[in-house]
Amino acid sequence: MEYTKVAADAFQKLQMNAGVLVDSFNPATGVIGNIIGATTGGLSFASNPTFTDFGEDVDNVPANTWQLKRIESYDPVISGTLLTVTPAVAKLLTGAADVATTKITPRAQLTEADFADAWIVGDYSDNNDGTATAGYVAIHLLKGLNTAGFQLTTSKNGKGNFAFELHGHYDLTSIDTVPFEIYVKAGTSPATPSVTLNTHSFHVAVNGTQQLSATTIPAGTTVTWSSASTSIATVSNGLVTGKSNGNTVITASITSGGVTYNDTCTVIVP
Amino acid sequence: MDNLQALHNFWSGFGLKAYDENTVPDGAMATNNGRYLTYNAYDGYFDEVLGLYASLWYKSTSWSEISQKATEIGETIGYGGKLIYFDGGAMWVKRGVPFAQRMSDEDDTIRRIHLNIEVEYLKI
Repeated sequence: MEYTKVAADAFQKLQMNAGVLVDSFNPATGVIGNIIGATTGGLSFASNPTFTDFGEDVDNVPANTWQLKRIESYDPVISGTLLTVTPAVAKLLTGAADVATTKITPRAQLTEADFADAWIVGDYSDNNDGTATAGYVAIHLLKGLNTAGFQLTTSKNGKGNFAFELHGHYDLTSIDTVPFEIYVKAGTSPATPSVTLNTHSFHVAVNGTQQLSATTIPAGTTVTWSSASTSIATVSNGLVTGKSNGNTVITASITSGGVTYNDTCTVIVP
Repeated sequence: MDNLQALHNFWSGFGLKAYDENTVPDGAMATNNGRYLTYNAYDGYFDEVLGLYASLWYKSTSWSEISQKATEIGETIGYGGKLIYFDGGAMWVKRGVPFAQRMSDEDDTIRRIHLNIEVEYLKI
């Protein structure tokens, strides 16, 4: 078959999994804000452009002539079904509403505070490990408002479902800004995990102490400390204590992805 | 590295000796300090999802350690799965349902946990 093919790099360009619905996302750092709620059945986004065809009623001009086509506006919408609800989420679902601790009171008038940005952020197949390095497909909906109204569907022995349709909205102060943005970022390889001690050899007297420090990648990884001979020197959270004359080796270890990484330091107790 | 080697490396990344289920040597339990892992492997192509499995084998009368290892593997795969790259493609490893099942063995000093995974091949 000549035309039944898949691009060789297709495996690097896939959007994967359902993604998350969040209230903010920083494309530069890859850090998501608050997850609005757990969803079921995946999330949908459609930009919904409305076109005007100026050639439609013109004699001797075919419809869909590109020079006469204009985009009137977009009606971008994120839709899905939430499984979890809080007062804040109930307010979001209600649209125009006020929240007083546990009570959500609908309003007849919309205020600017009823319009909130929302994001769908999903995995991308080209390197998807590590917050700062993972690839993503992200959609930013500006000034979102749930126009579907508050909907709750319950089921016997099942979880309640809250369907929603968040529509993006234009802003009169920036009328040319279309109320959605799309980001596609290929990931980069996370740095290889490592642990590095601040020194690799030192002397410490019997009953004397010396603090070792370890730098890890990723930062903040838990370090396990051990001494090859606790009769010569002990170690606790990097604090080495000389016990008796001799040499021994202090090991700092981290585990990442089931693999252990080490760095060592020779301790001489004269 | 081809996809089958990549799958072997994945299963070898949990601190246990990993064997293709067809190549487990006699005495594997004794030579691996009483614990090892076996897995099956099939090749596949783009958009194909295969149900594969592995087994943890521990010489023990307790389920504690072997269950911890099963949990570790499950967490490594994660809720969204894990992509394992190889030359010319990747495989998307996902937890099967059920993911981990305790299995009985004729030898009451052996504990075995069967792990179900789904592998979606992303290679041409």
